[in-house]
Amino acid sequence: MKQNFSEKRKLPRFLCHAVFKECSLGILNAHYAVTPINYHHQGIGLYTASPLPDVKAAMLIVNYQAEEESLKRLEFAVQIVHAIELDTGCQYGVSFDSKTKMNQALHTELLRIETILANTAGNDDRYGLFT
Amino acid sequence: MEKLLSHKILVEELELGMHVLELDRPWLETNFLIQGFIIQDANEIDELKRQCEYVFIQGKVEAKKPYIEKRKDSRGLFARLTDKINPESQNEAVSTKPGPPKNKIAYINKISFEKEVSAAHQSYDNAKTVAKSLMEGIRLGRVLDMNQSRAAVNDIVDSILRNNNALVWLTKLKDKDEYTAEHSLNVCILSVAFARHLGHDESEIRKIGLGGLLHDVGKSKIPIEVLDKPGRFTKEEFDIMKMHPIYGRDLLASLPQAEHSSVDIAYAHHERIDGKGYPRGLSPQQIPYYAKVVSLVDVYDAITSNRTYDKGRSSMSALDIIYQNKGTQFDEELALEFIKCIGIYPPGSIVELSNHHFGIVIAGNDESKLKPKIIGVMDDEKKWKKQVIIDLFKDPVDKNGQILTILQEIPDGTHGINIKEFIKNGLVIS
Repeated sequence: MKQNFSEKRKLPRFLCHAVFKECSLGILNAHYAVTPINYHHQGIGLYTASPLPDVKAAMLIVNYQAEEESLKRLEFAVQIVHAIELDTGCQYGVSFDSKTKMNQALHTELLRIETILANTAGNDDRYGLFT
Repeated sequence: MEKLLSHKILVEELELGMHVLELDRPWLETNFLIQGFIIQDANEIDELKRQCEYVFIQGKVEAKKPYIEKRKDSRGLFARLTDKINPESQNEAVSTKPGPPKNKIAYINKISFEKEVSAAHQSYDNAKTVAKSLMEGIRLGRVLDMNQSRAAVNDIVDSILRNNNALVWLTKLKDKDEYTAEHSLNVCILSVAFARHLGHDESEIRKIGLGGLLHDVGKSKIPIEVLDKPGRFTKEEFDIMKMHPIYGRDLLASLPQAEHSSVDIAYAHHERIDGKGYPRGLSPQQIPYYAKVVSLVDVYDAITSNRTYDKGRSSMSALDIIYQNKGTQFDEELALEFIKCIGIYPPGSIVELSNHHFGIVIAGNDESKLKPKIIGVMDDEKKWKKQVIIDLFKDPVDKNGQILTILQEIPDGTHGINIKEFIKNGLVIS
């Protein structure tokens, strides 16, 4: 048996559907529409039909709306830390991990989004299909 | 809407799992203590044969809103072209065009996971050999053996009709060095399980299974250095990869014994509902129904599979992607059905229980996917323990009298619990 496993993801990831509306990545002066998949306050999983340019740095633009709030928009620098590009679609792991660079207001807002998603998430029934 | 029907059936035709409602004589004139039961073993069939000539069994039929295609003919290009060549076959072909089942069949497991797993293992090994030789054979210029493929698929369908968990459990065997063959096989297995879940009849399930096995056959025409590239594709390489549905169509359409449905699946399994798929960018009504079914399975298995350069993602990650792309990449109704079919804890998931013991899911409960059947393998002190079956649907309790629940799913390999080793070594259930 393998004994050397270490879990990379320490934070639960919440399904993006309840809050996120439109997302795109700005890379080298171009914008690419992406589908937000799952989220925690340190990063987001994104998905596209075709591969993105092979770069690390990008600008993430997210439009999101919590219940009874107006639509909000955030635009901030991120790092593409993981890419799996398959013939079926492409997955990207995007990190917000820049504690030294990120201003406090943005960090607070990212935490707030996580709280909203956590509050709307079904405990066991992630997709609301089994209860 | 479901209604229960009673069918008269000769005792010679009885099978395990059938629900006997009435006999051909009063229950009190027989040795049966319970008036109405599900046949659990062969002895009960023998006893029915001894005491009766015929019985009445339960058949469940779900009336479903018929699937309405906006287009006159939703079948794929190859099927329609063939009609032009053989106009006399057109009426029959249109009346049997593939779509969701009008009368959904509710299948039940005829035998337990524990009894099926050994036969499933044999079917899996045989089919894997077929899948490997199929791809390698085409590369070497051999003609694809459809009979061999059909035989392998038939074994898989038979196993999944007996029990829908045993072969799905084996799809967790993800060997990074044999991705292409294993992926074809896993897509076949999961497509059959999904078709069963959707309530298709047996002949349709076999067609979907065969299409699943052959869906990526066109990849045998992609240069190995592109197909097995360990990492990101260049744009040129991705464009080459995107040719495989066309190669698959050409390969299968050249075989006189190939089924239209397999050609359609190979050609259209990368089409998307939003019209942004490839190779043709079809609109939703133009995408053959079977290709919509297999495309979901294809994505799920691709995401959860290990590659030479990276570990596969969790079942949850794949289901998240399917859920978030319903209505854009995938048919929305089918996507939700697929998530229901796989469930939150599919066979092979490793879970931590509320008493901090650990187990492996071996079977979902159709009545509650959140309460699967698991095998306990490790205690709360992270020590291996005797493997025992825990059926969460029966609300078992811990030593404090609290009902056991699943606390969380944990990644394969955590605390040394490695699913591949359990599958390879076999379960030692007491």
